Amino acid sequence: MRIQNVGALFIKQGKDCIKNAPVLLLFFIYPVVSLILTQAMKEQAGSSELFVSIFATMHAVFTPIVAASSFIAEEREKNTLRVLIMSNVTLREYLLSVGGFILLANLLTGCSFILYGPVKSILLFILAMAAGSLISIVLGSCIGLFLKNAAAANGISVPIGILFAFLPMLANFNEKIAAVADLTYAGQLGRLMAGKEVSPSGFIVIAFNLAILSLISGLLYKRSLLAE
Amino acid sequence: MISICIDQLSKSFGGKKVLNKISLKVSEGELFGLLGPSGAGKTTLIKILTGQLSYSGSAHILGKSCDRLERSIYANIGIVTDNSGVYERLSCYDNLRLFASLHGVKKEIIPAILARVGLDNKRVRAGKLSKGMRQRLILARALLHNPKILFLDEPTSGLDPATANDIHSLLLDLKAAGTTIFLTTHNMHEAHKLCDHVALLCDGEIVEYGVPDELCRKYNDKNTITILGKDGQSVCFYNTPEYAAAIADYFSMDNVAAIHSSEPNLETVFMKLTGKELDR
Repeated sequence: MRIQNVGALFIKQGKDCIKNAPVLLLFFIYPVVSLILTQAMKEQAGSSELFVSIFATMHAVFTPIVAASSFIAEEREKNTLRVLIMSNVTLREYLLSVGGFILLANLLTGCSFILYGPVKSILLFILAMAAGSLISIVLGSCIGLFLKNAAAANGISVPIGILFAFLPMLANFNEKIAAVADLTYAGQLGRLMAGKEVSPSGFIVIAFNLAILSLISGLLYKRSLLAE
Repeated sequence: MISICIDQLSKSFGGKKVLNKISLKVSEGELFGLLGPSGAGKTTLIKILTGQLSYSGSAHILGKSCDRLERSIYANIGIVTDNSGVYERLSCYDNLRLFASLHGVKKEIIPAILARVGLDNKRVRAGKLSKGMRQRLILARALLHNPKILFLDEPTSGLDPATANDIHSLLLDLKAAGTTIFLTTHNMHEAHKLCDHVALLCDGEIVEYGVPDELCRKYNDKNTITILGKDGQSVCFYNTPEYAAAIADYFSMDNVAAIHSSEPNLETVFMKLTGKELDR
């Protein structure tokens, strides 16, 4: 692992993302929408807490899935990943730089919720945002490594992202959905973001989700190593 | 010293043999051309040599086996292929800066490299470049770390003659500087003009190998001289001593408008050997 390579790719990812309006917008859409709704309905008691917890969960879940799958699939589609690998870059270095960039960008933009929203524990909120972003990056990487086409990757990652991002909100209206949501990291994140108590089994669910996705991404990583 | 050594190399895709027992050697500082029509197996051979495909037989570059290319070998080779990607949202400069960092090369050399390939506007986005300019950028990227071997897969395919000539001049400069160049092309003029040695590849097999001029002479069985008279008539003579007097008569009668000798080229050699055209 060469830190110099990871650093160079991290900077490249930043420059590329700034010029990639659709993906750049992803990092700002939920904080901005949440801010607008919070300000518009600040008279109603409890609305701010509700909006921040819902949109912060969406931000932690949806954005990294779509961004990671989009970045990786585009890189494979345009053959730039192959060029990188023939320039002495390992797939691990590449994934670390992309994941690191998305994690940092998502945390920085995600912290804006703290500036205007009522958050019970800032530390817990940041940890939940980091954990959610990390698991979502792994999920997005799986999609990006599986599909060699940015359009196809978006076609898969957007519905999966929506499914996970909306589960915690839908869980408020239906017990069966709540039971399913409790088995996903997104459901547990939703509870954390809302400042609800999370049982030890909730943390086990998050860890288990991460372990399963890491295993899948490991298998896809080996497959991609052969392909690239 | 041998830079590239291939012996009895074969490659199949799904039971179909794409390369069949190929053997050749490329010396250090040589400009070698692999000439063949589309689908002959040229790109497959470049992919094998750059460690992108498995194969049977033996292939070595700079003494290292291609089936387990050490990562360090990538510091010594540059690759220009038709499908080499560039970061389209980044500028030419930023594209090269990334790869300069990856190769541990100082960014200060980037303007000189861009000027060398004729890319003056370094701030323009790579996605806005024409095909010729994009090819120059890919070439600049491949030259950034001053590689010992440069692999070029159809580098001038689809380019205008002026850009192609610029690239030819650059390749000759690189060769003069000692870079080994492995070029694939289906352009016989390009191969004849640039290459020290060529191998003619057809259906996965090398049908002939040698110096372009020598190959042309070897297969020049026509060997004729055609004289176009001022009266509009043309006469064809064999280029042998017994016709010297007849040819001289035409000159003495002041009746010569134009004179042409038969000059076989690599395409005619290829057609003679395979019965197929190069530019299919």
